[in-house]
Amino acid sequence: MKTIYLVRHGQSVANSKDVLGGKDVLLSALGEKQALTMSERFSHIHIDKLIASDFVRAQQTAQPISTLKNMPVTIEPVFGEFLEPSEFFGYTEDAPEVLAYRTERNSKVGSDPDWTHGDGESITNFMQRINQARVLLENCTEETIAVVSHAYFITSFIAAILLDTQVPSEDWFTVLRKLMLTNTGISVLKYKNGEWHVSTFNDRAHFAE
Amino acid sequence: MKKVYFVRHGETASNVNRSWQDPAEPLNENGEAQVAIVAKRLKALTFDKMIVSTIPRAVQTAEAIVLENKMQYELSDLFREIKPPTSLIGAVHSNDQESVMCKFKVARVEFASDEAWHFEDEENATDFLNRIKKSLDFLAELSEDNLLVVTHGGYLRCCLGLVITGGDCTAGDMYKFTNTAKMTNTGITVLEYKDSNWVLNTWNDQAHFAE
Repeated sequence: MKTIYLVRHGQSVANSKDVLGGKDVLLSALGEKQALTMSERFSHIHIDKLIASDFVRAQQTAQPISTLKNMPVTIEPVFGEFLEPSEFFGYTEDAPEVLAYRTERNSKVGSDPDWTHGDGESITNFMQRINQARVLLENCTEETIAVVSHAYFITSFIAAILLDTQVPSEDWFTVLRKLMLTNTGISVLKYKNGEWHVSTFNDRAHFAE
Repeated sequence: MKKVYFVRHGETASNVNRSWQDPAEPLNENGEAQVAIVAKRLKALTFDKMIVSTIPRAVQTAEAIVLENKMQYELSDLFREIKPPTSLIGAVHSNDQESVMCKFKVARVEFASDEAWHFEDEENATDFLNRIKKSLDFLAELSEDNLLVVTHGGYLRCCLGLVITGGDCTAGDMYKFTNTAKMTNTGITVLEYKDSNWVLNTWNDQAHFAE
């Protein structure tokens, strides 16, 4: 049986300002602190391999785990975040341009899944990456793997398992909004006898409430 | 904003040997240890109201929680586990295709869209979904915002199905969640209710059993 710990990166500078950002966005000071606190959870958890997406904030979040475990970080771009059009980087989440883009994006999932805006990613491409990531993990020789990734990516990965589908439903982005993933929230998946199971979503006990 | 912490009851002997339990069955020794641990963890939180399923294993779990947290609770049938066919109580959840259990499980999926279909006296998928919808509406309407509910694995998996589909979970889909979403005894699940929507904040947090 394989156990996969999917960890969302710590708060980024973009998260702290509630704006959109690309691959190069750094963790905020709070995000670095969160990453360090979260890494301590892994002092009780054995892992054979540590993976991060190619986004800087994911690699920064993986760093304290890497130090604690004395284990290198393997970069796998397939775990990268859903790429939004770069023309919106720096815009707030509720800017009219962003809202208009997202409304159109969300409405295209069923009717035109290859639709893109500017250099943004299509839902088809994104879901292909989700499936590739699943196969990559299934084929890893290591049994227990921690992966630092992103909100859209992790919630899509989990929704695909729960809803037992590799094809996004028309309301995919609405489904994702039902899964509220916190910065450095830990989710646990199991893979056994060819089947994936969701064991935990968004454990954030390291911030003792 | 409303936040509901759901705690699954502690372990019973039937959880260990994977059989359909008699509602009267108490926690086993391990279950009693688990509920003492989760009760300590919940001390860090403040709740305005605590609601408990009327099934004894949930009540026993609740008793351990109030021992640490000096709270009062009310009992509710809305949060009970799905009612199995009486003749299958004690039967093991086996994969043996010749077993009545297996045949029943195949049939309940096949007939899931038939609201009237019953094998016996069990709650069918439609009955169960309707009850859970009612329980979520009940929670949404409460004036208190910080709630603690002691309930069951099947209840929570069905809740997850309803939340992720925005209430559109069909009776047939409900059983998917039974297979893919795993639950640990005393696992903590958190739902939030805001702008008339339920969202999942945490599923089966089990950090109190340091891994």
